Amino acid sequence: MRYRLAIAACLAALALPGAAAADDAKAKPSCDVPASVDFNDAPLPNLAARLKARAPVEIVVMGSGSSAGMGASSLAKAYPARLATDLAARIPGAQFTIDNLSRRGMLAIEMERRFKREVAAKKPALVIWQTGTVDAVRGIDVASFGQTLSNGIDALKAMGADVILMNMQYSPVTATALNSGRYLDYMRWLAQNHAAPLFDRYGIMKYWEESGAIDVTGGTKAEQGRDDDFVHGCIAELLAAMIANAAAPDMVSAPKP
Amino acid sequence: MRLPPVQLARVQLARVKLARVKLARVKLAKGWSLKALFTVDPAALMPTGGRDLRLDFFRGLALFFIFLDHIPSNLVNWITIRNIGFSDAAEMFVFISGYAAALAYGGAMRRHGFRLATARIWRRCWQLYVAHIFLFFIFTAQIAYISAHFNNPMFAEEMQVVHFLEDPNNTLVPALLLMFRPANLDILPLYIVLLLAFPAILWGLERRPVVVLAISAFLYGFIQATHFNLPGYPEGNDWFFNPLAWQFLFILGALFGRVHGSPVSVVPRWPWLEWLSGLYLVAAFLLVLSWDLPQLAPPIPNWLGQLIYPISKTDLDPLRLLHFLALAYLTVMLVAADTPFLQWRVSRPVIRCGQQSLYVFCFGIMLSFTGHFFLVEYSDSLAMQILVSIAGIGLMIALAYLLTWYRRANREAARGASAKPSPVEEA
Repeated sequence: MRYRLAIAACLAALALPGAAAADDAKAKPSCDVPASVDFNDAPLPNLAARLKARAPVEIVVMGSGSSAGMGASSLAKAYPARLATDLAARIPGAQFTIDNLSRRGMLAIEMERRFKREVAAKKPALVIWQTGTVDAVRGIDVASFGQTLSNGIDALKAMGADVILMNMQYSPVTATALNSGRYLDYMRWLAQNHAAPLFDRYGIMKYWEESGAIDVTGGTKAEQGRDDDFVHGCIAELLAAMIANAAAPDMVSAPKP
Repeated sequence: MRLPPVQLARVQLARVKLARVKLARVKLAKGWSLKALFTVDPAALMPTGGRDLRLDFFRGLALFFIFLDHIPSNLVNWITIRNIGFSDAAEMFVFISGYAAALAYGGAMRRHGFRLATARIWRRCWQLYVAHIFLFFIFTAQIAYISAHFNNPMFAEEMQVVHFLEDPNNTLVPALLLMFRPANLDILPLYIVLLLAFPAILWGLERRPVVVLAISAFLYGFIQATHFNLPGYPEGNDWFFNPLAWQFLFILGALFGRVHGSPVSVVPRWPWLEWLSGLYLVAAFLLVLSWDLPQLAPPIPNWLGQLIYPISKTDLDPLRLLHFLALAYLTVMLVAADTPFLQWRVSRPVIRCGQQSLYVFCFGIMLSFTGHFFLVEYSDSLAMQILVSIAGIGLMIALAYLLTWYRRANREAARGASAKPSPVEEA
């Protein structure tokens, strides 16, 4: 944790001049997280090939409630919707279509079945698989959860799609009521075994909560709305950065300030 | 002139302690024998008179770790052993409990017969069951509070965990039957199940310890291959601690507890094994570091990941078991039973907590809920986290001292002045 705080302090210090220049610097804290939290070294070969060929890119988002727009002030402000604009800004000249198949309350096994039924026909270059929340809530057998993840990633790779795993949201309030630890561990390990990037939303939100960028434990409706929009917006931004760096590092242009 | 009874008792106690110290030295001095683990007749062992304080010390430590680990946003839990390797306080707790159970009830089974020992063991199960129901009630109160006060729409899906409150008809009875086990309340149900089976296990250990160990190991191996788990509630749930896998660690503890005080050492002092254990612990530490600081992950080869992941806590993955055994082995080698630091004043609170482990465990879980509540509602600054951690541990120690005083005062009142040292407290 000390490393994270030190890196965060350095990042904060670096971000200051840029933040001061922006108009709404006071209203929007930086999305930055320490390198250890959003680190990724797994490639996205299928997406990279599609981008190099300048073909239109289809991205499927398969997730549960948070990916279906729960909590964002509108569906357009949920992270899948914002992902398209962020990606377009980072990789100019490429065409991105985001297909959001997320539904509230879907278990990992249900999502895996939908891969075979619905996703295969779309031939996506990238699938963002957000799971773990509903399984943790229902206390699903962790060994079969791991098996489902493995099967799902293998099925998607066989379809010619890259996979990014995204884990749960972090909230200090529900952390005692929910035993998400072992699901988080399984997602991390299986992502590593299948050479799939893991977008550690849990770690990222935990960092924001602990550094004070957001406060999900209380607040008025307005404060909650602002924090929720911050989360969705920054998730989209960090996800776009991860995708761009993994798939097309030489095509990336710096995001507009 | 005859000493007054209290002082006479103290002199006798001192003599017994001296004898125990000498016995401990003899244990390590005379070679070792693995056969002794299975062939030493516990009935022929000298009564140790006192207790091996190491048991109590490490069980107390495990209870502190469990308390700290159950407060999610607590930076202080970085000092617990789960951050240095694969195993954590759960392994410590289960092994030491098996050890203490054999120590506490083995003698009863030998001296008073199977039926009385079984009755005592199952009476203990009942106490554990009541403790579990109490903790379940506290957990439910916390959930009710959360559902009333936490209404951030972003977490509506996570908040479904409280829906069991809306359906009491289908959750209260399964909870009473230990089928429905909410988050973080899984270790007592495991312990209850293991103790329910313990009379049979103890009976087997008395007659054919090799057979019992073989069956236990076979069952453990079977679970590693198939990941079969007992059914939970609702449909699709599993037991967080798979009793069919964790029984192996419990029975290992019981096996060693059975020959506690043996004049022949059952644990060999081999330098090469000490080095191997140390290397394994270092390797485990590096791997765990790669989870928290993934920049270190690239040097770890993919084939290693394919081999070892996932490391299931539910099924007591062999890597976790070996990690705990390595820790235990080095501890036994480096920390003798009569080591001076166990007599220091700073160790005594930890030892007292280990001696009253059931109450301290329940209190610790309660305190972890309360501490977490404070961190969420008021402030989760580092200073507050440290304060909550220290206050919680302090309260657990206070409870342990209170219970120790009560027990001693009760015994002195009941039996007059000849206060004998208590048999090992099993919890």
